[in-house]
Formats: sequence, structure tokens, C-alpha cells
Amino acid sequence: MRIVYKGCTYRTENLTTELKQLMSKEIAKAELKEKNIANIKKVISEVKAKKGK
Amino acid sequence: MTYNATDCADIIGNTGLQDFCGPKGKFKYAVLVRKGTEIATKLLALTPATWTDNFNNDKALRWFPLAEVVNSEGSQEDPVFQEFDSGVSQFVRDGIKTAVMTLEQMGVYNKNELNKLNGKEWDVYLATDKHNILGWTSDGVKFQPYSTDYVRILPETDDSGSEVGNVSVSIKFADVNQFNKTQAMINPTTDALAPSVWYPSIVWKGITDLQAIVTNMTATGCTLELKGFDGTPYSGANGIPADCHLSLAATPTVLISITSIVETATAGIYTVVWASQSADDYLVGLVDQPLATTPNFETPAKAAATIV
Repeated sequence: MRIVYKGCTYRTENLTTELKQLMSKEIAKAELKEKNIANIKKVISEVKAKKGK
Repeated sequence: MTYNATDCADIIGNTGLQDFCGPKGKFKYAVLVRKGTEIATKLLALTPATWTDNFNNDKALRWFPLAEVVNSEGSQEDPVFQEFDSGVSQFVRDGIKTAVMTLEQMGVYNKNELNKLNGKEWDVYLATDKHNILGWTSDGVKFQPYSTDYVRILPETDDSGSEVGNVSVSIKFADVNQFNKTQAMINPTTDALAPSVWYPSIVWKGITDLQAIVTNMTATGCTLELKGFDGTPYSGANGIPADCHLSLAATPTVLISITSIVETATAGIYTVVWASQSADDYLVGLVDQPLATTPNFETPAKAAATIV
């Protein structure tokens, strides 16, 4: 298994439990942020589309 | 687990020379990494797999070790002061550090490949002839690459009666503090923390491109030639290409396993056998990185061939 964190790919077996947890948490946080941004963009475009009508 | 850091904290430090890790040595290798890259700990930086896995990574994430540096001319600009009419000088900024690294001789193909990295947003790890790897650390834990303002690949110089032509890389470093205040140095040959003794000069190899040439295509096999763009056959020490497969040209991601692959008496030429396939257009080749089992080779090396 590999984890990509801040531009570096690691083998999970080379990571300590703490590091693995920290990286997984940070990656999940970044994914959530991206998802939220995508949702906000979607809502904005929907509102714009409605206004256009 | 501290680095051989040059950081002397914020208090005044003593300047008597310490018998620490010896001189860092001359720059001999450079690895270009994307901006924002960092290695989480010193132990991971001392683990060879951290480097090899990133060299053999997908292109979007890959780190790029450059060819051996045969000459490095560093230049350090003087600090900039503003002079006032009163005679008082005011410190403005530290001088900029730059380095022009001349790389070992290379062929046209490699020059073109190297040029694709020109001007991209890179940071850089450096290794020296004393097997030290240099970077910096913002917190004493991470091992980070030097920030650069730019990395430019200079055109090759011309051969003369007494000199060969070489390609050089010009690097302008963004922050001299990373060399003075927060520099970090690791040595995988002497550090007790390293999981094994390894040498950047051996591990820091870039990926070589391969090309595949298919002949004698039949329903049950073909002859496959694998060689680098310099003509060097993929053979011998590289081992048998375990990832060889074929696929229908229309569905290249669906791999069809082969039965056997055996090198012929001619280096780099293999006899490949598979279960009988129906007439169609096929691709024969190796699995691409990062999945290829043989590291250090880029293997989108696939050749189109038709079973009639």
C-alpha cells in the first residue's frame, strides 16, 4: 500500500502508526475541502442558471 | 533524530569548528521535485525506498534525478545595502544564491527529455560526492527540498578541440536561509538511523525510456525487441521483463497474460508465447510505471501488431 502526502509517496509499512494516522487525517481533510468547494461551485452555478431564467 | 543542521537557534552561537560530520562535499547529484514536496521525517529520508518509489512513480507525481553533475559553479551575490547621503548604510536583503551545474555528456534523446523539465515549478534535493543529501528543515523533523526561483536547462555547449559539449542546469535558489540557518544534511552511509547503508550515487537513478519492436507476430506469439533510445538492449542485469503482456488495441487496459518470455541468443530480443488469439489488432509491451516490477525503466513501451 502507498500513501501520497505532500508530494511524496510512501510505503505504508515504512510509516509509524502516528504518521499513518496523521497523513490519512490530513488527506481526508483535503478531500473534504475539495468536495465542499465543488459543492459550493455547483450551488453557485445552479443559482446563476436560475437567475438567468 | 536530529539533522546535522546548521541552525544555531535564535541565540548567538559559538563559531569554533566542531568535529561534526565533516565538509558536505561538492554537488554531484540533484533531484527535482514538485513545489510543496517534503519528506515527513529524517528516518523516511534515510530509507532508500522513499527515493526509488518516487523516481518510479506515475509521471504526475514523479521525482526526477538529473544526470551526474561534473562541475558546479555556485555564485553568491553580496548582501544588498542601501547607501544614504548621511553615509549610513541600510541592510536591504541577503544576496541571491545561484548554481550552474554542468551535467555529464548525454545523447540527443536525453537532452530533449531533460528539456521537458525546463522552467517547471521545481524544488531540489542535492547530494554530494561525500554521499551527503542536502535539504533544509522548517521544524527539525521534516526533510525539505531547497526552494528555487527557477530551474533552467541551458543549451548544450559545442565540442571544441579540447572540450566536450555539455548540458548545464541553472538553478536560482529562493532563500539563502535554507543554506545557512535551516540547512539539513543526512548521510545514508554513516547515519546509524538509516535502515541500511546506501549510496545516493547508486540509488539516485532516473528512469530510462524503452522502446518495443514486434516482429513475427502470429496467433500464438511474437519476437519482441526491447531497447533504450540509445540502442542499448534491455537485457542481462535488468532481468527478464516480467510485466510483458498483450492487449487488444481497442481495449488497451485489458491485459492478456502471456505464457512465457525467453531471451534469445541476441541480447534484448525475446521470444514471447501466448495462448492462441483470434485475428485482430493487438498491442504487445510492458506494464507502465508505477506498476512495473522492474524499476528504473519507463515502459509504456508497446508496439502495435496484427494477427491476421
